[in-house]
Amino acid sequence: MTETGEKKGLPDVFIEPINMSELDRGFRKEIQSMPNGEELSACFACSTCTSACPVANIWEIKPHQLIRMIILGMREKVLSSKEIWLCLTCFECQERCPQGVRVTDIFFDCKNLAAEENMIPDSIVALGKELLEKGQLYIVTADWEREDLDLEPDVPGLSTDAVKRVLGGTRTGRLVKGGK
Amino acid sequence: MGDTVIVVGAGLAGIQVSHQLADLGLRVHLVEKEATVGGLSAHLGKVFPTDDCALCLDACEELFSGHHRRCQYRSLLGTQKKLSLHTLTEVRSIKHEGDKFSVSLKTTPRYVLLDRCVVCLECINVCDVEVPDELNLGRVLRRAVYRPIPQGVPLAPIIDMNSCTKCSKCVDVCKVDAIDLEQKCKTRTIKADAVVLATGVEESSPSVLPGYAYGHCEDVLTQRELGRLLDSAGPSNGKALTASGRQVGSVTMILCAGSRDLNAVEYCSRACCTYSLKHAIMLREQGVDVTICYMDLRVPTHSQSFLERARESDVTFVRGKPDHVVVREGSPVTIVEDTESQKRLEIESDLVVLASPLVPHAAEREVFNSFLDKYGFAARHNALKGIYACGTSTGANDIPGSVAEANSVALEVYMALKGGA
Ligand SMILES: Cc1cc2nc3c(=O)[nH]c(=O)nc-3n(C[C@H](O)[C@H](O)[C@H](O)COP(=O)(O)OP(=O)(O)OC[C@H]3O[C@@H](n4cnc5c(N)ncnc54)[C@H](O)[C@@H]3O)c2cc1C
Ligand code: SF4
Ligand code: SF4
Ligand code: SF4
Ligand code: SF4
Repeated sequence: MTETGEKKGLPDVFIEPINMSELDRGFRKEIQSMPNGEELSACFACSTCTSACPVANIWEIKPHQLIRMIILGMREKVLSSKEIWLCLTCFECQERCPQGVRVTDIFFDCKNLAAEENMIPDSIVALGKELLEKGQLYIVTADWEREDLDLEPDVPGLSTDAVKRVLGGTRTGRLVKGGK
Repeated sequence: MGDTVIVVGAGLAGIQVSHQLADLGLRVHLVEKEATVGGLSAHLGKVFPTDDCALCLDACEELFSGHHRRCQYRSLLGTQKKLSLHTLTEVRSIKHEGDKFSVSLKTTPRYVLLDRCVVCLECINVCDVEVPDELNLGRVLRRAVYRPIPQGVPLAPIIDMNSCTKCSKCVDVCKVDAIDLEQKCKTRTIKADAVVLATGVEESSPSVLPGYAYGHCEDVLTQRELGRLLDSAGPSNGKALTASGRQVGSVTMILCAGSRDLNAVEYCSRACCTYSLKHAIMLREQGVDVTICYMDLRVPTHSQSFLERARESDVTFVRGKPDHVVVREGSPVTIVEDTESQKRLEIESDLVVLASPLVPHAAEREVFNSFLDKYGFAARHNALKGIYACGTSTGANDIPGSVAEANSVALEVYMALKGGA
């Protein structure tokens, strides 16, 4: 039984009525066949994941809603959502889910599907490019960061060539170059 | 077939099944590990569905023919001819011999002799050792010789040897020589034709669940602890006070705090939704604001009125499961996503109360292992003929469910032993 007081009226933030004909019934199975997706349908919509999440407070679509949308088959909306990319991959939600739903891993699956369909936000592609070109995302500056700690200017043994080479052959490489 | 039955556990289910069997003419040994009977009922005060005192449910034959109830303190448990009550007693082993069970019992000393004590309570008055009363959250003191609750059967006091200094004042004051500070453990073996487990449940300690600040903040309690505060015989005469003694203005309840959680207790504890509502209504009667965070409310039909009354008395319901409670300036703050308004709430309140899972007692003791499922609950009929279970030892439940099962098991045991089948 769900508690419905008179107090609240209809939720005012979330989505318009769901158009059943736009639902992709295969989406749930698709996610379930991907790594760590099997437990998806065990979700009982408790929202623990969302209250555990350190950042979802400012999201329009919250983690528990994303999971529900996947189960419903709202493929387009989920794969084009910015939230799957805003996820910090901190695994709080997954750790705390009482039903063993691997929430973070499922968001990884979603990102992979989105990537296959070229639905990656530009900011993420830019990060990929940075990684591909420099072999690292966060470049430690010699002048103050290391100096202040009395460390020699260069990170000893740092080699980014292998990373660049390997990445070039992966989907990240292809995506950055505009392919699939 | 013989007619001797051992019932293990003297909670409401064990008491019920024992009375029924004794009334039907069987020989019953009721074995209870604590000093007094009642189990959880001794902690509860008012209970749903009828709002009666939990102790007022003693059920011997008189109850059914005489149209009245009686309090546990006037119960016939100690006097019924066919029924022997063994308190402070545990089962050491159960051996299957032919179609009988040889059950070995061990009784630890009460230090007060039940066959002598006349319950004048002079010994309690004279004792000057005072320790925190565990039954009342340690918020009041009790003596080393004490009675857990005044209505507890047997009515005679018990001496807590961990705090007793053996000053012998009680021995001297007792006019009937009922105190023996050197009393020893006793063992005995009983041959029984059937064994009924009625070992019940207890509220698990939420400290095994991270996140809810239990143990870090004294104002995060379990429902059982809140129940003690709200009991008019409790440490603050029924008033909800914080650990520092302030009148509580607001309470947030977290349902399913550990139940229905694959990381903790998988099953639903079944009674907690309704007793949380019961407590919420009692708090509203004191003018306390109450917020209940829930996933769904599982209230049995017989107690729907509690949900209605909670709504009518303006309890706030938030549909969402909190993930954590943080402590700010000493007070607990509950973090929850309200799935109806789509807002993350940070609810400040004087108390946070957790509906902790109800977990089986039987699992604590190896002797019952072979009768238990993976959660530690027993089947109503064990695969081994002659072993039965009833009440919450078969699964978390409320009082009506536990007592009903006790009645049905009593008839089954009777049929098996006396039915001529
Ligand atoms: C906070 C709280 C509030 C509740 N409020 C209500 C309410 O309002 N209404 C309602 O219907 N229900 C309520 N319940 C549920 C109710 O308490 C139980 O349904 C009922 O008390 C179960 O009775 P029982 O006899 O099965 O078990 P218990 O009461 O647990 O009794 C079991 C007995 O067995 C003994 N025992 C255990 N192991 C051994 C052993 N190894 N050897 C010997 N003895 C042993 C125990 O000491 C205990 O005395 C509440 C529960 C809680 C925790
Ligand atoms: S915590 Fe798990 S069960 Fe709860 S809403 Fe999130 S995914 Fe679903
Ligand atoms: S893994 Fe992502 S969705 Fe999950 S709690 Fe962390 S940031 Fe939130
Ligand atoms: S003084 Fe003796 S008779 Fe009186 S309550 Fe104590 S033990 Fe019983
Ligand atoms: S009875 Fe209610 S609070 Fe208790 S575990 Fe079941 S759903 Fe949760």
